[in-house]
Amino acid sequence: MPIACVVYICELKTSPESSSFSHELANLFRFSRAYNKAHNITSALFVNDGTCIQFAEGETPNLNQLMANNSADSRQRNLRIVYSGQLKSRIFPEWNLKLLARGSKEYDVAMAQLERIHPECFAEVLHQSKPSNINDKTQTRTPTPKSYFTSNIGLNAWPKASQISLDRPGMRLCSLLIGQGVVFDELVKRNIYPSNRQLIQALSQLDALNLLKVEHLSTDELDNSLSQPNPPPKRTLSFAQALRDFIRLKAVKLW
Amino acid sequence: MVAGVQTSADNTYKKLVVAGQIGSGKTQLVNTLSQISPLASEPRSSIDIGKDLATVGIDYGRLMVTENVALGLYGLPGQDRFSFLWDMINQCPWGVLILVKLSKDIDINWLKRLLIVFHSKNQNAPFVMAITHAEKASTEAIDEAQKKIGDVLSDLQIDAPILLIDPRSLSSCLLVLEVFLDLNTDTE
Repeated sequence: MPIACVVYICELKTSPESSSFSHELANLFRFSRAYNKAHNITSALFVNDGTCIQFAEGETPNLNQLMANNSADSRQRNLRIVYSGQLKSRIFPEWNLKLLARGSKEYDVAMAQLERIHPECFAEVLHQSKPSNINDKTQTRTPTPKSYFTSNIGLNAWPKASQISLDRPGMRLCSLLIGQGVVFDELVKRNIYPSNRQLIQALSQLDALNLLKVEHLSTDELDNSLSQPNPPPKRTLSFAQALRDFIRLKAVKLW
Repeated sequence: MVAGVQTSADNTYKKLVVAGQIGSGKTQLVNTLSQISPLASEPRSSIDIGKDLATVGIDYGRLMVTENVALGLYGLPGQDRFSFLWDMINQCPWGVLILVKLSKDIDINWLKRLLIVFHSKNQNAPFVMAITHAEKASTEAIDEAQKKIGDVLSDLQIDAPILLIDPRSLSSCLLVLEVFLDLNTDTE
Protein backbone atom coordinates (compact mmCIF):
# COMPACT_ATOMS: atom_id res chain seq x y z
CA MET A 1 0.00 0.00 0.00
CA PRO A 2 1.42 3.46 -0.84
CA ILE A 3 2.62 5.73 1.94
CA ALA A 4 0.77 8.97 2.55
CA CYS A 5 1.96 11.99 4.44
CA VAL A 6 0.11 14.71 6.29
CA VAL A 7 1.36 17.84 8.02
CA TYR A 8 -0.99 19.58 10.37
CA ILE A 9 -0.91 22.39 12.90
CA CYS A 10 -2.99 22.73 16.03
CA GLU A 11 -3.01 24.63 19.31
CA LEU A 12 -2.89 22.85 22.61
CA LYS A 13 -5.78 23.60 24.91
CA THR A 14 -3.58 23.87 28.01
CA SER A 15 -1.76 27.17 28.16
CA PRO A 16 2.05 27.10 28.35
CA GLU A 17 1.54 29.34 31.40
CA SER A 18 -0.09 26.49 33.25
CA SER A 19 1.98 24.58 35.76
CA SER A 20 0.62 21.33 34.30
CA PHE A 21 1.60 22.14 30.69
CA SER A 22 4.71 20.00 30.58
CA HIS A 23 2.96 17.15 32.33
CA GLU A 24 0.03 17.20 29.90
CA LEU A 25 2.41 17.43 26.99
CA ALA A 26 4.17 14.31 28.23
CA ASN A 27 0.85 12.49 28.52
CA LEU A 28 -0.03 13.48 24.97
CA PHE A 29 3.35 12.19 23.74
CA ARG A 30 2.89 8.90 25.53
CA PHE A 31 -0.59 8.31 24.16
CA SER A 32 0.23 9.44 20.63
CA ARG A 33 3.36 7.35 20.41
CA ALA A 34 1.51 4.20 21.48
CA TYR A 35 -1.29 4.90 19.00
CA ASN A 36 1.14 5.50 16.15
CA LYS A 37 3.01 2.31 16.89
CA ALA A 38 -0.20 0.29 16.90
CA HIS A 39 -1.26 1.77 13.52
CA ASN A 40 2.08 1.75 11.72
CA ILE A 41 2.32 5.53 11.67
CA THR A 42 5.66 7.27 11.86
CA SER A 43 5.82 10.87 12.88
CA ALA A 44 7.75 13.91 14.04
CA LEU A 45 6.35 16.57 16.35
CA PHE A 46 7.38 20.14 17.00
CA VAL A 47 5.95 22.20 19.86
CA ASN A 48 6.25 25.97 19.90
CA ASP A 49 4.55 27.99 22.64
CA GLY A 50 1.43 25.86 22.72
CA THR A 51 1.34 25.27 18.96
CA CYS A 52 1.93 21.73 17.71
CA ILE A 53 3.17 20.91 14.24
CA GLN A 54 3.11 17.24 13.34
CA PHE A 55 4.47 15.42 10.30
CA ALA A 56 2.77 12.02 10.07
CA GLU A 57 3.19 9.31 7.47
CA GLY A 58 1.56 5.94 6.98
CA GLU A 59 -1.21 4.21 5.10
CA THR A 60 -4.03 6.52 4.04
CA PRO A 61 -6.84 4.88 6.07
CA ASN A 62 -4.70 5.04 9.21
CA LEU A 63 -3.81 8.69 8.64
CA ASN A 64 -7.44 9.55 7.99
CA GLN A 65 -8.41 7.94 11.28
CA LEU A 66 -5.56 9.75 13.03
CA MET A 67 -6.79 13.11 11.76
CA ALA A 68 -10.34 12.26 12.73
CA ASN A 69 -9.18 11.37 16.24
CA ASN A 70 -7.12 14.55 16.53
CA SER A 71 -10.02 16.69 15.35
CA ALA A 72 -12.19 15.18 18.06
CA ASP A 73 -9.48 15.48 20.74
CA SER A 74 -10.45 18.27 23.10
CA ARG A 75 -6.80 18.86 23.96
CA GLN A 76 -6.09 20.05 20.40
CA ARG A 77 -7.79 23.14 18.98
CA ASN A 78 -7.88 24.94 15.64
CA LEU A 79 -6.47 21.95 13.81
CA ARG A 80 -5.67 22.58 10.16
CA ILE A 81 -3.89 20.50 7.59
CA VAL A 82 -1.17 22.37 5.73
CA TYR A 83 -0.12 19.52 3.46
CA SER A 84 -1.18 16.03 2.44
CA GLY A 85 0.25 13.89 -0.29
CA GLN A 86 1.88 10.65 -1.35
CA LEU A 87 5.43 9.55 -0.66
CA LYS A 88 7.69 7.06 -2.38
CA SER A 89 9.01 6.03 1.02
CA ARG A 90 8.79 7.06 4.64
CA ILE A 91 10.81 10.10 5.66
CA PHE A 92 10.98 9.15 9.34
CA PRO A 93 10.84 5.34 9.34
CA GLU A 94 12.45 5.01 12.77
CA TRP A 95 10.19 7.39 14.68
CA ASN A 96 6.73 6.42 15.92
CA LEU A 97 6.75 9.89 17.44
CA LYS A 98 9.86 12.01 17.63
CA LEU A 99 9.86 15.32 19.46
CA LEU A 100 11.85 17.84 17.50
CA ALA A 101 13.69 20.59 19.31
CA ARG A 102 14.51 23.68 17.33
CA GLY A 103 18.21 23.73 16.62
CA SER A 104 18.62 19.98 16.95
CA LYS A 105 19.97 17.85 14.14
CA GLU A 106 16.67 15.99 13.82
CA TYR A 107 14.81 19.27 13.44
CA ASP A 108 17.11 20.36 10.64
CA VAL A 109 16.69 17.01 8.89
CA ALA A 110 12.91 17.17 9.16
CA MET A 111 12.79 20.72 7.84
CA ALA A 112 15.04 19.81 4.93
CA GLN A 113 12.77 16.87 4.06
CA LEU A 114 9.70 19.04 4.24
CA GLU A 115 11.23 21.72 2.04
CA ARG A 116 12.08 19.06 -0.50
CA ILE A 117 8.60 17.58 -0.76
CA HIS A 118 6.62 20.80 -0.51
CA PRO A 119 8.35 24.21 -0.30
CA GLU A 120 5.12 26.12 0.40
CA CYS A 121 4.31 23.84 3.30
CA PHE A 122 7.84 24.30 4.58
CA ALA A 123 7.40 28.07 4.48
CA GLU A 124 4.10 27.80 6.36
CA VAL A 125 5.61 25.59 9.05
CA LEU A 126 8.61 27.88 9.43
CA HIS A 127 6.29 30.84 9.83
CA GLN A 128 4.36 29.06 12.57
CA SER A 129 7.51 27.94 14.34
CA LYS A 130 9.35 31.24 14.20
CA PRO A 131 10.25 32.78 17.57
CA SER A 132 8.89 36.30 18.13
CA ASN A 133 12.27 38.02 17.75
CA ILE A 134 14.82 36.73 15.33
CA ASN A 135 18.06 38.56 14.81
CA ASP A 136 20.86 36.20 13.91
CA LYS A 137 23.33 38.99 13.33
CA THR A 138 23.48 40.37 16.84
CA GLN A 139 26.23 39.33 19.18
CA THR A 140 23.84 38.07 21.81
CA ARG A 141 21.89 35.11 20.55
CA THR A 142 18.11 35.37 20.50
CA PRO A 143 16.90 32.06 21.86
CA THR A 144 13.72 30.08 21.33
CA PRO A 145 12.20 30.24 24.77
CA LYS A 146 9.53 27.66 24.04
CA SER A 147 12.06 24.84 23.79
CA TYR A 148 12.63 25.11 27.54
CA PHE A 149 9.48 23.10 28.18
CA THR A 150 11.09 19.89 27.02
CA SER A 151 14.63 20.50 28.17
CA ASN A 152 17.05 20.09 31.00
CA ILE A 153 18.34 23.57 31.77
CA GLY A 154 21.64 24.50 33.37
CA LEU A 155 24.04 27.38 33.70
CA ASN A 156 27.45 27.46 32.03
CA ALA A 157 28.86 29.99 34.47
CA TRP A 158 27.67 32.38 37.13
CA PRO A 159 26.56 35.66 35.50
CA LYS A 160 28.96 38.55 35.80
CA ALA A 161 27.75 41.66 37.54
CA SER A 162 28.60 43.60 34.38
CA GLN A 163 26.40 41.28 32.30
CA ILE A 164 23.24 41.35 34.36
CA SER A 165 22.09 42.64 37.70
CA LEU A 166 20.47 39.71 39.45
CA ASP A 167 17.42 40.40 41.55
CA ARG A 168 16.23 38.10 44.29
CA PRO A 169 14.40 35.61 42.00
CA GLY A 170 17.32 35.78 39.60
CA MET A 171 19.78 34.70 42.27
CA ARG A 172 17.53 31.80 43.27
CA LEU A 173 17.09 30.77 39.65
CA CYS A 174 20.82 30.86 38.91
CA SER A 175 21.57 28.98 42.13
CA LEU A 176 19.33 26.15 40.96
CA LEU A 177 20.75 26.08 37.46
CA ILE A 178 24.45 26.03 38.37
CA GLY A 179 25.63 22.46 38.24
CA GLN A 180 23.69 19.65 36.65
CA GLY A 181 20.61 21.68 35.89
CA VAL A 182 16.93 21.01 36.24
CA VAL A 183 13.95 20.36 34.01
CA PHE A 184 11.55 23.20 33.37
CA ASP A 185 8.77 21.58 35.40
CA GLU A 186 10.98 21.54 38.47
CA LEU A 187 11.67 25.26 38.09
CA VAL A 188 7.94 25.91 37.90
CA LYS A 189 7.36 23.92 41.11
CA ARG A 190 9.81 26.11 43.01
CA ASN A 191 7.58 29.15 42.49
CA ILE A 192 10.58 31.40 42.01
CA TYR A 193 8.59 33.68 39.68
CA PRO A 194 4.88 34.52 39.90
CA SER A 195 4.22 33.24 36.37
CA ASN A 196 5.71 30.89 33.81
CA ARG A 197 6.05 33.82 31.44
CA GLN A 198 8.37 35.65 33.84
CA LEU A 199 10.36 32.49 34.35
CA ILE A 200 10.75 32.09 30.60
CA GLN A 201 11.77 35.74 30.27
CA ALA A 202 14.46 35.25 32.89
CA LEU A 203 15.72 32.12 31.14
CA SER A 204 15.71 33.97 27.84
CA GLN A 205 17.83 36.74 29.33
CA LEU A 206 20.40 34.23 30.53
CA ASP A 207 20.21 32.42 27.20
CA ALA A 208 20.84 35.63 25.30
CA LEU A 209 24.04 36.08 27.31
CA ASN A 210 25.15 32.58 26.26
CA LEU A 211 25.05 31.49 29.90
CA LEU A 212 22.41 28.84 29.53
CA LYS A 213 22.94 25.26 28.53
CA VAL A 214 19.76 23.69 27.25
CA GLU A 215 19.71 19.96 26.74
CA HIS A 216 16.68 18.81 24.82
CA LEU A 217 15.17 15.67 26.24
CA SER A 218 13.78 12.78 24.26
CA THR A 219 10.18 11.82 24.94
CA ASP A 220 11.41 8.92 27.09
CA GLU A 221 13.68 11.17 29.08
CA LEU A 222 10.90 13.72 29.45
CA ASP A 223 8.53 10.98 30.60
CA ASN A 224 11.04 9.80 33.17
CA SER A 225 11.70 13.26 34.51
CA LEU A 226 8.00 14.05 34.83
CA SER A 227 6.76 10.72 36.14
CA GLN A 228 8.51 10.78 39.50
CA PRO A 229 6.11 9.36 42.06
CA ASN A 230 4.78 11.85 44.56
CA PRO A 231 6.28 11.37 48.01
CA PRO A 232 3.89 10.02 50.64
CA PRO A 233 2.16 12.71 52.66
CA LYS A 234 3.98 13.56 55.85
CA ARG A 235 2.23 13.72 59.16
CA THR A 236 4.49 16.38 60.58
CA LEU A 237 5.69 19.56 58.93
CA SER A 238 9.06 18.97 57.24
CA PHE A 239 12.03 21.18 58.05
CA ALA A 240 12.01 22.56 54.54
CA GLN A 241 8.32 23.46 54.60
CA ALA A 242 8.59 24.94 58.10
CA LEU A 243 11.52 27.12 57.06
CA ARG A 244 9.77 28.22 53.85
CA ASP A 245 6.71 29.24 55.85
CA PHE A 246 8.92 31.09 58.32
CA ILE A 247 10.70 32.99 55.55
CA ARG A 248 7.40 33.84 53.89
CA LEU A 249 6.05 35.32 57.13
CA LYS A 250 9.22 37.35 57.65
CA ALA A 251 9.17 38.48 54.04
CA VAL A 252 5.60 39.76 54.36
CA LYS A 253 6.68 41.93 57.30
CA LEU A 254 9.77 43.16 55.47
CA TRP A 255 8.13 44.02 52.17
CA MET B 1 30.82 17.73 70.07
CA VAL B 2 28.16 18.85 67.68
CA ALA B 3 25.69 16.51 66.02
CA GLY B 4 24.66 17.04 62.44
CA VAL B 5 20.94 16.58 62.51
CA GLN B 6 19.05 15.81 65.61
CA THR B 7 15.57 14.56 65.22
CA SER B 8 13.32 13.23 67.86
CA ALA B 9 9.73 12.37 67.27
CA ASP B 10 8.78 16.03 67.65
CA ASN B 11 11.96 18.11 67.20
CA THR B 12 14.14 18.78 64.20
CA TYR B 13 17.47 20.55 64.33
CA LYS B 14 19.74 21.28 61.40
CA LYS B 15 23.10 22.97 61.20
CA LEU B 16 24.26 25.72 58.90
CA VAL B 17 28.00 26.30 58.83
CA VAL B 18 29.14 29.84 58.10
CA ALA B 19 32.82 30.18 57.29
CA GLY B 20 34.88 32.98 55.92
CA GLN B 21 37.79 35.34 56.07
CA ILE B 22 38.45 37.76 58.86
CA GLY B 23 35.96 40.59 58.65
CA SER B 24 33.77 38.93 56.04
CA GLY B 25 30.64 39.29 58.15
CA LYS B 26 30.14 35.89 59.77
CA THR B 27 29.35 37.29 63.21
CA GLN B 28 27.01 39.87 61.71
CA LEU B 29 25.14 37.25 59.69
CA VAL B 30 24.71 34.98 62.69
CA ASN B 31 23.49 38.02 64.68
CA THR B 32 21.03 38.98 62.01
CA LEU B 33 19.47 35.54 61.71
CA SER B 34 19.43 34.49 65.32
CA GLN B 35 16.43 35.01 67.46
CA ILE B 36 18.45 34.45 70.54
CA SER B 37 21.62 36.26 71.54
CA PRO B 38 24.50 34.60 69.79
CA LEU B 39 27.09 33.04 72.08
CA ALA B 40 29.97 34.82 70.43
CA SER B 41 33.00 35.78 72.40
CA GLU B 42 34.83 38.77 71.04
CA PRO B 43 38.01 39.45 73.02
CA ARG B 44 40.58 41.81 71.68
CA SER B 45 43.02 40.04 69.40
CA SER B 46 46.69 40.07 70.28
CA ILE B 47 47.57 40.46 66.59
CA ASP B 48 46.87 43.68 64.81
CA ILE B 49 44.65 42.66 61.94
CA GLY B 50 43.16 46.03 61.25
CA LYS B 51 40.06 45.39 63.30
CA ASP B 52 39.31 46.35 66.88
CA LEU B 53 37.97 42.90 67.59
CA ALA B 54 38.63 39.48 66.21
CA THR B 55 36.39 36.50 66.50
CA VAL B 56 37.72 33.58 68.44
CA GLY B 57 35.92 30.40 69.17
CA ILE B 58 32.70 29.71 67.37
CA ASP B 59 29.86 32.13 66.79
CA TYR B 60 26.72 30.26 67.67
CA GLY B 61 23.19 31.33 66.99
CA ARG B 62 19.88 29.59 66.65
CA LEU B 63 16.92 30.35 64.44
CA MET B 64 13.73 28.99 65.96
CA VAL B 65 11.70 28.19 62.87
CA THR B 66 8.86 26.74 64.93
CA GLU B 67 8.75 25.61 68.53
CA ASN B 68 10.01 22.19 67.40
CA VAL B 69 12.17 23.09 64.43
CA ALA B 70 15.43 24.99 64.69
CA LEU B 71 18.38 25.92 62.53
CA GLY B 72 21.71 26.14 64.30
CA LEU B 73 24.13 28.75 62.95
CA TYR B 74 27.81 28.04 63.41
CA GLY B 75 30.19 30.81 62.48
CA LEU B 76 33.72 29.49 62.18
CA PRO B 77 36.77 31.55 63.06
CA GLY B 78 38.61 33.02 60.18
CA GLN B 79 42.21 32.69 61.31
CA ASP B 80 44.19 29.66 60.21
CA ARG B 81 45.34 28.95 63.74
CA PHE B 82 41.77 28.03 64.63
CA SER B 83 41.32 25.69 61.69
CA PHE B 84 41.29 22.72 64.09
CA LEU B 85 37.78 23.88 64.97
CA TRP B 86 36.62 23.27 61.40
CA ASP B 87 36.59 19.49 61.95
CA MET B 88 34.55 19.88 65.11
CA ILE B 89 31.73 21.58 63.23
CA ASN B 90 32.15 19.80 59.93
CA GLN B 91 29.70 16.95 60.57
CA CYS B 92 26.67 16.53 58.30
CA PRO B 93 25.77 20.19 57.92
CA TRP B 94 22.52 21.17 56.24
CA GLY B 95 24.58 23.62 54.23
CA VAL B 96 27.92 25.38 54.09
CA LEU B 97 28.00 29.13 53.51
CA ILE B 98 31.34 30.71 52.75
CA LEU B 99 31.59 34.47 53.01
CA VAL B 100 34.21 36.33 51.03
CA LYS B 101 34.86 40.00 51.73
CA LEU B 102 35.18 41.94 48.50
CA SER B 103 38.72 43.20 48.10
CA LYS B 104 41.50 43.29 45.54
CA ASP B 105 43.48 40.72 47.50
CA ILE B 106 41.15 37.79 48.06
CA ASP B 107 43.21 35.02 49.62
CA ILE B 108 42.62 32.36 47.03
CA ASN B 109 44.90 29.80 48.68
CA TRP B 110 43.04 30.14 51.97
CA LEU B 111 39.72 29.79 50.17
CA LYS B 112 40.91 26.70 48.37
CA ARG B 113 42.09 25.11 51.63
CA LEU B 114 38.76 25.82 53.27
CA LEU B 115 36.76 24.38 50.39
CA ILE B 116 38.93 21.28 50.23
CA VAL B 117 38.44 20.62 53.93
CA PHE B 118 34.69 21.09 53.89
CA HIS B 119 33.81 19.69 50.51
CA SER B 120 35.79 16.49 50.91
CA LYS B 121 33.70 15.54 53.92
CA ASN B 122 30.35 16.97 52.87
CA GLN B 123 29.85 16.24 49.22
CA ASN B 124 26.11 15.93 49.66
CA ALA B 125 25.69 19.26 51.44
CA PRO B 126 25.01 22.29 49.26
CA PHE B 127 27.67 24.99 49.17
CA VAL B 128 26.95 28.66 48.69
CA MET B 129 29.54 31.36 48.20
CA ALA B 130 28.58 34.88 49.16
CA ILE B 131 30.50 38.09 48.54
CA THR B 132 30.08 40.75 51.21
CA HIS B 133 30.96 44.45 51.46
CA ALA B 134 29.98 44.88 47.81
CA GLU B 135 27.24 47.47 48.24
CA LYS B 136 29.35 50.34 46.92
CA ALA B 137 31.72 48.37 44.74
CA SER B 138 32.06 48.79 41.01
CA THR B 139 30.80 46.08 38.70
CA GLU B 140 34.37 45.54 37.55
CA ALA B 141 35.52 44.81 41.10
CA ILE B 142 32.62 42.42 41.62
CA ASP B 143 33.31 40.72 38.30
CA GLU B 144 36.92 40.21 39.28
CA ALA B 145 36.00 38.73 42.65
CA GLN B 146 33.38 36.46 41.12
CA LYS B 147 35.87 35.28 38.54
CA LYS B 148 38.50 34.45 41.17
CA ILE B 149 35.98 32.54 43.23
CA GLY B 150 34.56 30.88 40.14
CA ASP B 151 38.02 29.74 39.07
CA VAL B 152 38.64 28.15 42.47
CA LEU B 153 35.28 26.38 42.35
CA SER B 154 35.99 25.20 38.84
CA ASP B 155 39.44 23.86 39.80
CA LEU B 156 37.89 21.90 42.65
CA GLN B 157 34.90 20.84 40.52
CA ILE B 158 32.45 22.29 42.98
CA ASP B 159 29.16 23.72 41.74
CA ALA B 160 28.08 26.61 43.93
CA PRO B 161 26.24 29.88 43.43
CA ILE B 162 28.12 33.12 44.07
CA LEU B 163 25.71 35.53 45.70
CA LEU B 164 26.10 39.16 46.70
CA ILE B 165 24.76 39.71 50.19
CA ASP B 166 24.69 42.20 53.03
CA PRO B 167 24.94 40.32 56.36
CA ARG B 168 23.33 43.29 58.11
CA SER B 169 20.19 42.89 56.06
CA LEU B 170 17.59 40.35 57.20
CA SER B 171 16.23 40.25 53.67
CA SER B 172 19.65 39.37 52.30
CA CYS B 173 20.17 36.68 54.93
CA LEU B 174 16.76 35.18 54.26
CA LEU B 175 17.69 34.97 50.58
CA VAL B 176 20.64 32.81 51.60
CA LEU B 177 18.32 30.46 53.45
CA GLU B 178 15.98 30.30 50.45
CA VAL B 179 18.86 29.34 48.21
CA PHE B 180 19.87 26.57 50.61
CA LEU B 181 16.28 25.35 50.64
CA ASP B 182 16.28 25.26 46.85
CA LEU B 183 19.57 23.38 46.74
CA ASN B 184 18.79 20.85 49.42
CA THR B 185 17.36 17.72 47.91
CA ASP B 186 16.20 16.17 51.14
CA THR B 187 12.63 16.84 52.11
CA GLU B 188 12.92 16.30 55.84
